[in-house]
Amino acid sequence: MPIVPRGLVDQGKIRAGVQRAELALAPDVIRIMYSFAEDVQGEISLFFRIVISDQAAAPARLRETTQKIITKVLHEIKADELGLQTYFNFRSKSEQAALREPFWERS
Amino acid sequence: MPYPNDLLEQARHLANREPKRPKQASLRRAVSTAYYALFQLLGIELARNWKRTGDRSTLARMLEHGTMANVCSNKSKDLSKHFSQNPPPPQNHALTVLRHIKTIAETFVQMYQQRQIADYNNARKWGRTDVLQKIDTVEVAFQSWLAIRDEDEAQSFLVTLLLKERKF
Repeated sequence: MPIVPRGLVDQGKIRAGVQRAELALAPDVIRIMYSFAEDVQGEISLFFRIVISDQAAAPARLRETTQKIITKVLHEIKADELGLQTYFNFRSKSEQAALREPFWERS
Repeated sequence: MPYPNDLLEQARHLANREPKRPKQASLRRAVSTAYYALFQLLGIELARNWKRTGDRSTLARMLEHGTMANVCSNKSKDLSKHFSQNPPPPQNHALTVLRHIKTIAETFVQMYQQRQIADYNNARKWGRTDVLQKIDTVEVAFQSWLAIRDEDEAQSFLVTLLLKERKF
């Protein structure tokens, strides 16, 4: 995992913003995790992994719920001020139950 | 735009190909195909401006994925700053056009990243939810493009996709 210079990004604010978003978006959102890494363009970026309920992942609701989640998270972490590129990946609760990847669980 | 639309439809078909247990191959190809749908849409629309129809496909081949991603990333960041300025920009047609461009540029950046993972990272496990979400975003970008394709600002954005970063 790349080291993000403390002066460049206030990680406490990001953590607090993500927690606020997670609380506000329940029960559609089960948990929000994130990590810093370089994207394919070599820029340090913020990668979100978001587990959502099976109801929220239903095809009829997916577009609306994921857009709402992205908007809320970006707002809460004040993404415009951070100047970091953000990426979002989603997984439903039942998909994670089947795939069982620790990376998608809260450590 | 028959070809980009067909690619997008194909991406959705691949994502839903196995109703119960989607194969990673289907999901990964779906992500990659959705990215190419957007790439092709922008390329075809760019080339449409070239008067000599026989040379349009050659012009479209001048587009480079990484260059486009850089341009889109910069555009997306610039527009984010513009939208969040204080006082905010006036709510008018021009702002609506810029919001659509931001949607397209940001979707390209996102999909370029996801496509690289889908094509080259064998360790990544994909779920259908994630893949359908990616396809949805490309579909929204298509709708944004349709809404603004005749706008000067949109056409100017297209031309910039050819611009390589200069070191001087």
